Amino acid sequence: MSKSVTVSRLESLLARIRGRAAEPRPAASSAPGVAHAVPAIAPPPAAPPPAAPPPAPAPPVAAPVVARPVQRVEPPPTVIIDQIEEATLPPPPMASDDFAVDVDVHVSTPPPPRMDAVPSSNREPSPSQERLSGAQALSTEPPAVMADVADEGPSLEHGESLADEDALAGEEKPEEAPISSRRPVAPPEERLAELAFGAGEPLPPRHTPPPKSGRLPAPPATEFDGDVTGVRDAVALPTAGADATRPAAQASRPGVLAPQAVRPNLVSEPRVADVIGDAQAFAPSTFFELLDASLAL
Amino acid sequence: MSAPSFKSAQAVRFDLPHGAVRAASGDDRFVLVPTAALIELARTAPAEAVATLGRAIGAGVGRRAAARIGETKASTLEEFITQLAGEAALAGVGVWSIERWGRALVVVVSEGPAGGPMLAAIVGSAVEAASGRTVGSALLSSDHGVARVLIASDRAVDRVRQWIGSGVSWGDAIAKLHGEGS
Repeated sequence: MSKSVTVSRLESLLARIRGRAAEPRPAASSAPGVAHAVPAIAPPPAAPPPAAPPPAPAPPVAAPVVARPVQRVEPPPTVIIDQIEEATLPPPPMASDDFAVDVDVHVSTPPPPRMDAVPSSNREPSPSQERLSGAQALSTEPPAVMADVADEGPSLEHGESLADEDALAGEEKPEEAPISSRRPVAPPEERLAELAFGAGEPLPPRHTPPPKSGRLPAPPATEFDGDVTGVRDAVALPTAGADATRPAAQASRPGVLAPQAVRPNLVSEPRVADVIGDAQAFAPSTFFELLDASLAL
Repeated sequence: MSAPSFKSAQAVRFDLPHGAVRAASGDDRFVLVPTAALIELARTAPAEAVATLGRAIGAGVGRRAAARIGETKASTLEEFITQLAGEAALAGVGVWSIERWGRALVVVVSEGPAGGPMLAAIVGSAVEAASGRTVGSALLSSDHGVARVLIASDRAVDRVRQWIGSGVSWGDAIAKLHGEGS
């Protein structure tokens, strides 16, 4: 192949690329996060040479402004360009990577610094889905910068490491019970020590049960000093209905003496008394009956 | 049936012009004798003389009571004792009542002027005169101004006297009297 033929082909290819770059892109195809495989377009040969090799696919050209999804591109054919102006050439392929990275412009996540330490040549090619995830975390940058940043984008490993760091940071804090949970949270050892040795004033329980409906509980019994109040032998006045509720109320409060009544179990029986002899059946109606009975003795 | 009552109106007439005290019914003449004189007589006189005096006093009470009762055989205990006690009160020999111990008839005399054998003779003679039956009487007890006199047959009265003389209480004596009699 002569140089002229090569130059002509390259010019025609450049023209096509420019033309395509100028065309407006359909909105549906630029949905964020969705990768569309762009079919490899074989440029039609301007003039089919008689012994020309099969048309090589065009080298990947990054769009200057418009974000595009990631696309795996076949390795471009080796082209020797000697006398072509550099300004007219497409940007060179990125390092030795065999894929192109396009970045979604709506995501603004700074690249983690960790990726700088790992050379891109040592990294293994990730599956397409992982690359997509990394691409979504990148921020909008100029195309030149984007290419650099794309190489240094965070991988899944870095995402996991960040998550681990967050988890470690969270473990240092005392466990917070969820708001919707009433489960008491065990205090940490420091709190236990404070409670045991009195270093700090004990805090009220953080989760107290809601008040029960019904009657309010009785106030705690308060003992007054007789020397201060002057009341030494005060007798509580009986209240209506207090006798009926007193045993139960006293039984519920520890330390209050409550009487325990013990009643005999008496069963009535027909023979309680033993009568010896007969009752007096003599009932005189007149004086003479009594006198006759007495004289008969 | 109304409770029997004793009419004491004009039961004793004091005939001052003649210097006599008379009962309303009959011509019995009375002599007001001090109680101390009777007690002294009963203490110093022989027992037979004291008993004779007592029976004389009781006979008068019995006769006047029988006159008030009328049909004595049909009279109840209340009717009989009411009239008898009324006449006894007029005579000044205390308040009389009747107790029935089983079948034994006991006359209780409270606030009587004299005790001992004279009182038993007065009560026995009064019941005999009022009822028309021959009865015997024996003093059972005399405590705190209350005397009890048993009205029974002469045989029963003799046994009770023996038992009481031997130390048997008057209650046990009456009980034994019922045991032997039944």
